[in-house]
This record gives sequence, structure tokens and C-alpha cells, in this order.
Amino acid sequence: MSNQNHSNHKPSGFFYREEVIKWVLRIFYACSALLVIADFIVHRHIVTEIEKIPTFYALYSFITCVILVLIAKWMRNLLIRAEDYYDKPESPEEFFLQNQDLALPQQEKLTSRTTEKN
Amino acid sequence: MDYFFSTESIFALGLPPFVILLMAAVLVALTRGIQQKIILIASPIISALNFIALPETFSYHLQLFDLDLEIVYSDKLARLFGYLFHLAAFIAIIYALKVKDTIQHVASLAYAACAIGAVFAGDWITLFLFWEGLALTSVFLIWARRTERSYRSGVRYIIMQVLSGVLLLAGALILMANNIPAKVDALSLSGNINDAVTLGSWLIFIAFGIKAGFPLFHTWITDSYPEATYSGTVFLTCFTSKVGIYILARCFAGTELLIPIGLTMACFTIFLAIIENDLRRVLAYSMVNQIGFMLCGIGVGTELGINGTVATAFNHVIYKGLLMMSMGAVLYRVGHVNGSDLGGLYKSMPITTVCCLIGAASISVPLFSGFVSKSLIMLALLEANYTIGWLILLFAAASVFLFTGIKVPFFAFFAQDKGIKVKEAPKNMLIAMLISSSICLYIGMQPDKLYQLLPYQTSYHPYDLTHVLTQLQLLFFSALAFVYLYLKGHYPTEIRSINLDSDWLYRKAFPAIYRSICSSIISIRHACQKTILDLSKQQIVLLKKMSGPYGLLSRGWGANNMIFIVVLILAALLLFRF
Repeated sequence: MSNQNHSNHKPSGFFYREEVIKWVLRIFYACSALLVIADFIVHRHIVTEIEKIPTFYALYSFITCVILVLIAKWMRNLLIRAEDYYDKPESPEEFFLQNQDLALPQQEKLTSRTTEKN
Repeated sequence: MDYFFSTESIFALGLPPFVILLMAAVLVALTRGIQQKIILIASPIISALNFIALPETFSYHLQLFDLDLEIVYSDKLARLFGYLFHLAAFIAIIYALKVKDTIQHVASLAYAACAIGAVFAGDWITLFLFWEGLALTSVFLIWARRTERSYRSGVRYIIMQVLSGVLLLAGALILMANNIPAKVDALSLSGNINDAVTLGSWLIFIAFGIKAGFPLFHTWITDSYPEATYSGTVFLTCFTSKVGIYILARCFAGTELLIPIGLTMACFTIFLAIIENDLRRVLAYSMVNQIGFMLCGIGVGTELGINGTVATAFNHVIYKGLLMMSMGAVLYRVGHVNGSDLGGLYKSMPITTVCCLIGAASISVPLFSGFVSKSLIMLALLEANYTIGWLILLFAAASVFLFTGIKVPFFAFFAQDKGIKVKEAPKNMLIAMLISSSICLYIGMQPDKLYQLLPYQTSYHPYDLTHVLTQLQLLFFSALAFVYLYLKGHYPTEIRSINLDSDWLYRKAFPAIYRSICSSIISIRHACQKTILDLSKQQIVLLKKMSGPYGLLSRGWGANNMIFIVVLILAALLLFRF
């Protein structure tokens, strides 16, 4: 709705400036890198064997999330429907209301009339 | 320690915790304007004061004919939920204060009262009454949207809720008929299903499961919550499913079946949430996901597990309420919450944006509330040697941050600027959101305050270096995955659409099967009618022919013929005689 009205709108504002986006991303990447480096410095206490893998949490998180999104994207092809998919009247009553000839066919009335005449 | 009070001295300690809110609901129905608002704000405060004055463990009994009802039973577990529900009701009422719809105010107060009543219900019959009360009051918050869609969704919601109530009643009656005390207490699912007591326990388990949103039953959450009014959803988020969690923790702690159920809920919702466009529905999926975590804690059943579940439930009500409030504010101002049509709202709704970000961070970022509670469940799983379960939950924890923590605020307030110009949310909404935000931060920084309220003693310290580091790695790399996919264009774009879920079964498949059965029965009926009609038509034609003017049956019989037949008979007789 709104994006049709404002399709020609030029984004403005602090978080839409290119250099701001660039810096936010740079800081974010730097933090991620620091966390990986910290993993080798800090001695983590470990409960299960699998945690022994260096930077296990970072790797596990990144890989599973990427796979997850790709699977979800593929799943969408199967699951996607139009917004009004459920809005079409399909309850039994409405179905029969719309298809009255199915419930009480004209033929039945006609035949009964012809037999009466005979 | 149990105190026994007769009905006369029921007021000796103070009113039962749910009474004041229930009375307030009646008063709100009768008043309008400023008086109504005063009652609305005052009722949760007075009710909370009454509740705080009550001792920690006690019970109220009420004699109804020959039935001894324990209408209130309180212990440490129930008390925590008592605090939580009062707090949630207070915040949600402030949020909904400007709603000009008495029905919604009455329904929400009665709904909160029923939730508190259900938590403190001491026996099955009382629990059943409040259980149904929850369903009947909350459905008005959905119908109050007054659209065709919300009406239909509300009908589906109430059917599901009443089904749960009926199962609970059936199970409870089976138990009571087999001389099990009517007290709400731990039940066991192990045992032969042919045994009446086990059957009763299973029925109650399924009834609780429906309320807690077990897979396939979860659709009442994801279907109805996004259809309710902007303030109604906040109430809905706070109560029904948390009552389900509470009662499962009370009756089925240590039931291992809950772990696979919880893991399923924590996982399948993620896929659906990522491609969902309605942001309130994304939050509803995230809610099912978080309930999955809580069920795992109940399934482990250790003190740590139960503590984790209860603490998570507490925090979840606050921060999911906060997220729902921020999306409600967007709905109120913009008119919809479709990710595909939102973006850039941080400029016009800065405070809402900050509150939403705090709610999002509260899912599991250090210094926010979720961090100090969810790790209890994770640790409980590890300590009980459920390593695979732990790995799955770790995945769920990383990805829930991806789709709730990042997706919801990003697509609503940042992302592509759609140039939507609206006003900031009304003051009462902002106050409610700020209260919730401060609670999220307070619990995150002072976890001991929450830990003291938990049912079991705990010596857990969330802020050790390993935990903080691993959690930050988990979250940053989940965010990194988002950034990577988004910049590469692999992240599924928001499209105006809906996605199929298991409610497709009863919204499309079952009606289709029903229709095809009906139409085949009808066509068989028509075929039968036609055959019979055709046959009778032939009969009529035949009869007409036989009895027509020249028909065989309508011919006259002359005397000659008669004499001829008589002679023939006589001849035949003679022939046989000799």
C-alpha cells in the first residue's frame, strides 16, 4: 500500500547515509573478529566434548543460520499462497449456498412435475 | 503448610487473588470515561497489594454441595506466576488505556483474573472453570477487531480452547472416579493406557498441551494472535500459553516426552517465521519457539530445569509483551504490520524503535533479561546429558535471534525507507513500553532478584566469562549470517503473502474432504432418486398401457368367455379324477 504511494521516495535520515552504513558494518565486523580472537585467548570451561572445537559457537551459529535461511527460502516455494487464500468462502454452508443446484437439483423438481401430469 | 479456612472466615487472610480483578471487570462494564480509567489502573495495583499481603503457602477451601473445592492453593511456584500476571496485567492495561471499547476492557480484566485464578486453582474442577474462563474472555479480544477475518479466527480459537477444556474435564472426571484426590498435583504418563488413571492423565496432558501450543495445536497462537486488536494481542501474549507452561511444570515435571515436543516446537517455527510477512505473526512463531525451550526445561525436570523454565516464562512475558506492544504501536499508527510495506519508521517513532530493540535484545543478549534465564535451561539439558537436545536448542537460540531479534526491528524500523510519515505512539503506550524495557534491563543486570523468586534455590551465576563470550559469539555470528545473506541478496525478501501451516489441515483439507464426502453422498442420492423415478415412470407407462381404454386389464369379459373357462375347469377336474 504505502510503498506504492512512495515508490519514488528518496531515503533520507541518519541510518540511510552510505558512510554511516559503512561504519556500522565495519564496527560490527571488527567486533565479530575480536570475539573470534578472544576465543583463543580466554580459557573456556567446557561441559561437552563438542565445545572443544575452537570458535565452536561462532561457527555453529553462522553455518546453521545460513543453512536455515536457505532451506526456509526453498520451503517458501512450496508454502507460499496469496494473501486472500483463506478468505475465499469455502465453509460447507457457503459452498452449498453458492452451489444450490448441487444440493437441490432442478431435474428432481421437473421429473416430479412431469410424473404428476401423467 | 496447609491452612484450612471455612467459607465464613475466607476473608481472614485477604481476598483470593483473582477476586479484585473480577470485581473490577464488572465495575468497568458499568462505568465510562475517567472513572473507568481510574478503575482500570487501580485494579491491578489493589489486587497486587492484596496478593502481596497473602502468605506464601496457604489454601482456601469452599464447600459446594458435597464437593470440597480448593479454590486457592498457593506455593512458591504459583506465587511467582501471581506476581508475573499482576505485573503483566498492569503494563498491558496502561498500554490499552486509550482504547475506547468497553468490551475489550472488561474482557481483558476478566481474562487476567481467570489467568490468576487458574494458577492458584487447587483442584481440577476449579482449574476447569478458570480454564474455560480464559477461553471465553480472551476470545473477545480477537473478535473486538471486528473484521470478518478476526471473527473467523476467533471462532477457530475458541473451538481449540474449548476442546482443551473438555479434555481437561474428561481427564479430571476419570481421575476422580478412580478415587484419585481432586487436587491439582503431579501426574504420570507411564503405565498402560488401558488403565483408567493413565488414560485420565493423558487426556489432561493433551489438554495442557493444547494451551501450551504443542506442534499441530500451535496454530491457535499463530492464527489468532495476529488477528486480535493491537492491545488485545498484548494480553493474549501474557496469559494463556503461560498458564499452560505453569500447569505443565506443576503436573508433568520430568516427563521426558516433553523434550522432543519442545525441540520440535523450537525448530519448525523458525523456518516459518523467516518467510512470514506479518510481523506480529513472526512474533507469534517466536513465541511458540520460546515455549519449546520452556517445555524442554520441564521435560528435564531437574531443579535447574524447572527454575530455568519458570525464569524464562517470566522474562518471556515481559519482553514478548514489549515486542508485541511495539508492533501494536506500529499497527495503531500505520494500520498494518506487513514487513513488505514497512521500513524507515525509526525516524517517526524513535522511542518505539528503542523499546523494540530492547525487547529484541532481551531474547538472549547479555545485560538483558533473556540471557540470565534461557541459559538455565541450556545448562539443565547439558547436565542431564541431553547433548543432541542441547545442540538443537543452541541452533534455535541462534536463529530466534536472527528472525525475532533482527528481522522484526530491521524490517519495521530500518530496512528500505518507505517514507511512511506517522506520529510517535501515544503516551500511554510509550509509558507501558518503557516500563517493560526497564524491567528487561533490570532483570538482566540484577538476575539475583529474579532468582530469589524461583521455586528452587539456585547458585547459578550467568555473568561468567565463558558464558558471556560464547553467547556473544552465538549472537554476533547469527547476525553476521543475516548481514551476509542480506547483502548477497539471499535473504528471503518480504512478500505480501501468507504461508501454509498445519492450520491448512482444518481450514482447507478437512473442509475439502468433508465437501467431497457430502457431494458424493448427494450424487449417490441423486442417482438413486433418478433410478427409482425412471423405474416408476416405466411402471406408470406400463399400467397406463394395461388399464387404458384398450388395455389388457380394462377389457370387458363376455358371457361366452366365462362359460368357456368354466367348461375348461370342469374338463380339467374330470381329467384328474380319472
